[in-house]
Amino acid sequence: MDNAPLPNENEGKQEGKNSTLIEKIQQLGATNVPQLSQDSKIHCLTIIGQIEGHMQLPPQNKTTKYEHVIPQIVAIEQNPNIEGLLVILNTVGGDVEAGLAIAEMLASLSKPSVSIVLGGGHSIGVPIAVSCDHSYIAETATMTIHPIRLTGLVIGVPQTFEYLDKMQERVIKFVTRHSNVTEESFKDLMFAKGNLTRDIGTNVIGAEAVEIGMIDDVGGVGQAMRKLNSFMEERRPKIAGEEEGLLQ
Amino acid sequence: MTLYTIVPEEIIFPHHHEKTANLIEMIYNGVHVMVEHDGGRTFRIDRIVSTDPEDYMNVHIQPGAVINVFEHMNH
Repeated sequence: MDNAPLPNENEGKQEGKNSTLIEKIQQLGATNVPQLSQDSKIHCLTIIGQIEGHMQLPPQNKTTKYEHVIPQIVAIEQNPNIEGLLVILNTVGGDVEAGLAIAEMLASLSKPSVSIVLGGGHSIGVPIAVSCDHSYIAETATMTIHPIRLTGLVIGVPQTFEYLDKMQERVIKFVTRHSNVTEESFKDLMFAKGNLTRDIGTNVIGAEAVEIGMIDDVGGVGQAMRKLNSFMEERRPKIAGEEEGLLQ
Repeated sequence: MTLYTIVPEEIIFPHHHEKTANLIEMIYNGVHVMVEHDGGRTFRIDRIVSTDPEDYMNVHIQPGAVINVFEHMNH
């Protein structure tokens, strides 16, 4: 395995022995997994732009891809050198299925995880933010809670509405299960009128998200790291034969 | 597919498609990166796809850095 800090020596060298570089380049969609040995104890997952699922969005959209994030979470779970995960969110939402998949993966991660909402954690970003063991929101960050709308082909039958309602229910259930916000107050925010210019719903800012119980604390990277370190400290005695060391 | 986002649909899917940035994914020096081919023998790093914070500190793969992946191929 290559050592990251010495790039000049082996620039361009690949891990695979027999495959050529060209083959490597052609293998589109392959993802890197955090490797053993020189890993940081805390890994950081940044979720920015649109969360992309089944459909690749046009290139002017900045996206976080499902096929990148899921293997990374699996690798973080498996790599014994990684002790904690910091999730940084600045997302405008995206695909419901992909967002919920990421949120479920984070919620079931056996290692401590802390999320911070910086800038924005809107729509499907809400379940991801609450999925971690502890969640922070920057004082100026906002989260928009609004109903799910159907894009694309919509057939005007009652089943369409029911389908939409079920999708929405999945989001509401997840958020209420993983945070202290009640279903009632979350729905109130979701269907509030007069707050958003183009939609019904509510835009909660920093401390407001904490007040309603959706997010645990107002804070930034410092607080989040401290929290994560304390979670890791609590968990450490359980890991047999682990030598004590300072965290990065 | 259901999108749950604050971005209006017409912004996500514009009617006129601008030229597509041709991004290629590759593992460079053990780090998963997305690169843009400049047509020659070099690639320009567009973004790093990694959860290891150390990878983002590596000056040789900062976004915008030009890398030559063919350097070692003729040896």
